[in-house]
Amino acid sequence: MTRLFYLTSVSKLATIEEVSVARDSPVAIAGVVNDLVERARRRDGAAFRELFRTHVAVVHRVIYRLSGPGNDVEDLVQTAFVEAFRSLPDFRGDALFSTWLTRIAVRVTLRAKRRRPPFALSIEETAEPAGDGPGPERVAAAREGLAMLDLVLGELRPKRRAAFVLHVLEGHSMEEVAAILNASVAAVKVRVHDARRHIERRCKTRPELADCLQQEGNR
Amino acid sequence: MTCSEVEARFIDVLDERVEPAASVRVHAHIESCADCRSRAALWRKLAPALRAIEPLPLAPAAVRRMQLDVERLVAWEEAPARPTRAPRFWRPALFGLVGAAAVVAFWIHASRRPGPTAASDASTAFAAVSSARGSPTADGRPIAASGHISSGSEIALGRDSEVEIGLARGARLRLAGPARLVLGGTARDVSVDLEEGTVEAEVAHRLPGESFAVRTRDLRVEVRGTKFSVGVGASGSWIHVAEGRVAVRFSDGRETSVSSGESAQSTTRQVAPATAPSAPPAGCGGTVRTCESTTRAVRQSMRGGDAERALRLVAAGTRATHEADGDCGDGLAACEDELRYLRAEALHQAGRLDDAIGAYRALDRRGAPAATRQNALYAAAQIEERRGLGLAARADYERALAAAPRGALGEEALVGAMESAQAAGDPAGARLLAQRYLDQFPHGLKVAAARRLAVAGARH
Repeated sequence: MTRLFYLTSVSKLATIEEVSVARDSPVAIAGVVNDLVERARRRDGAAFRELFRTHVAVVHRVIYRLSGPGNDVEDLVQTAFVEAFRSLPDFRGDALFSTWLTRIAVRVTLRAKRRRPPFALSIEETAEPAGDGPGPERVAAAREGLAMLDLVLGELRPKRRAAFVLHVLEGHSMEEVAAILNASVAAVKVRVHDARRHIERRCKTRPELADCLQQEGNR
Repeated sequence: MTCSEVEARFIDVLDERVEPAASVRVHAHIESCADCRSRAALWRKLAPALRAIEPLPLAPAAVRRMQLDVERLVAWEEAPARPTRAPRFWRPALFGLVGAAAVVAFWIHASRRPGPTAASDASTAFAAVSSARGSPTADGRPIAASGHISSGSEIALGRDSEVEIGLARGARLRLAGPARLVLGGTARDVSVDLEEGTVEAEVAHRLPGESFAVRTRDLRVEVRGTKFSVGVGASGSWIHVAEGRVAVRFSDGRETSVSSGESAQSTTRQVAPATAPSAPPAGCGGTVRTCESTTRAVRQSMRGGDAERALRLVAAGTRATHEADGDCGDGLAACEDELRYLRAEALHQAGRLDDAIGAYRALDRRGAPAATRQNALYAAAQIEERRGLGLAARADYERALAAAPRGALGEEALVGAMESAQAAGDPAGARLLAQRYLDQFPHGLKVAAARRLAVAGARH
C-alpha cells in the first residue's frame, strides 16, 4: 500500500464564494455571486457594495502578497475594484467572479510594480493598519511573518512571484494561474518551478528562515 | 513519471486537486526518489507556513472609505453605452483607422497646447464636478457639470462663475470666481495650490498617512477632517475655520493651529478668533503641545495595531489635560476632543465594541465639532448595524445626520438613515428620508436607490 506520508493535505484556502455562502451548494454559490454581478451591471449600488465587501479581503491579500509591504497597497486594491466594476460588461461568467477579479488585481499590481522600484521594509517598519481585535502579540508575530514572507518573495521576478503566489499561496491550479496571468500552462509551470528552486536555495543558505517559516505554519 | 512532472504536482496533491490514480503515481515516485522525497517534505511544511502568513485585516474605517471612493469613481467614470461589436474581418481595418485618427488627434493637440493632462482624461481623473455655473475652465477647457478633472489641472473661474468639485476620500471644494487654482496630488494626498480667489473646503476625516493641503504663496494649510475657507488677495492670504482644526504654516516658517470659529491672516500673522476668548494662562502652550504629541503617539500605536497601548496613552493624556491650571482655551478643548475620539477608535480596534459605542456617543453629548460628532455617530451606527442592532443603528444614523445635515458627511449619514429605516421595516420613514436625499443630493450616488425607496414607500 502506498503511504501518504509526504504530501498530506493542507487546509485549503476558502474562496470568497465559499466564505460568503459556505453551506450552500456550488450552484447556489455561483447563483448568488452571478446575481450580484448582474445587478452591479445595472448600476445597483447595493450590489456594488456587497461585491466589494465580500471580495475586498481576498483582493487585499493577493495584492499584498504580490507587491509586499508599502503605502500603496490600499490604492492598488481600490484601483483593482474600480477597473473591475468599470469592466463588468466584459465579464462573461466563464470563470468565477473571484478569479476574474484576481486577474484584474494581478494586472493592476504588476503594472504598478513596473512603474515603481521594489523596496523592502525591515521588521520594525512593516506597519499595517490593524483590524478588529488583533492583540499586540498577534500583531508582532504577524509583522515578523510578513517580513519573512517579503524576504522570501522579494527577490523573485514579478512574473515568477505572481505565478508562485497564485499557485502555492492562493491555491489556484496551474490552469487557473495560466488564465489569470494570460500565459501558457507550460510557462506557468516553469515560473513556479524557478520560484520554488529559488526559495529552496534561500532556505538552505539561511536555515533560520526555514525555521521561522515553519514556526509560522505551526502558529 | 519524471521528477519535474511530480514536482509540478506537489501543490495540486496537497490541495487534493488530482485524481486518486495520479496521486498514487506521484506518491509512488516520491517513495522511490530521494530528491523528490526531501523536496516534498520541505514543501509539505513550507506551503502551509507561507499560506499562514497573511496581511493584517484592513481597518473597518479604511474599508468603508475605500468602498465610498470606489463607488464615487465608478459613478463618475460611468462609461457610455458600448457599441455593437464589429465583425471580425473589419477589426484590422478599424484598428488601423482608430490608430491613425489617434496619432493625428495627438499631433494636433500637442501642436496646439503642450500643457498638462487634459481635464477630461478620465483615466487619471481623481475629482468630479458636482455643479458648475458661469464659465469655469480646467486647463483652458470649459468645465461641464458631472465632468472629470485630472490631477494637475489648472482651474480658472471668471467673475460670476461657480464650481463645486467632489474628490475621493469624501472631500468637496467650492470655488466662486474670480479664482484660479491648481488641483494636484493623489486620492490619498490632495494638494490645492490657490493662486487667486477663495476656496471653501469640506474634508471628511483623513486616515493616518493621508493628507489634504491647501497652499497659497504665503501659507500652507494641513487638515484632517474639517470645514474651512482659504482666500488670496492683494494684501496676502487668509483662512477661516468653520469646523474642526487646521495646522497653518506661514512662508516665514512660523506654524500655528486655527480652531473652529477662528481666522488667521498672513499679513498680520495673528490668529483672530471670531469670538474673543480670554487669553490663556501661561503654561497652557506646553499643555497643548503635550496633548498634541500624545494624539500623535496614540495614532502611531493604533497604526501598529497596539490598541491597549493607545488606550493607556489616551488615559495618561486625558489626566494631564485635566491637571492643567485654568482654562487653556479652544486649542486644548479641540485636542481633548481628539483624544476622546481616538479613545473610541482604540476601543473599537481593541474589540470592546460596547465601550466603543458608548465612547462614540459620548462625543455627541459633549458637543464636539459637527464633523467629529458625525464621524463618531456614523462609526457607532456601523458597529450596531454589523451586530444586527437595527434600531440603535438607525437612531445613530439620524443623530449623525442631525450633527452634519449637509455636504459629503450629510450625504453619508442620510444614506445610512435611509437604508436602516428600510431595513427596520419602516417604508414611510425610508420614503421621507429618500425624498430628502433626492431634494438635497439630486446628483448623489444613491439617487437610484432613493428613487426606488420613495416609490416603494408611497405604495404603503
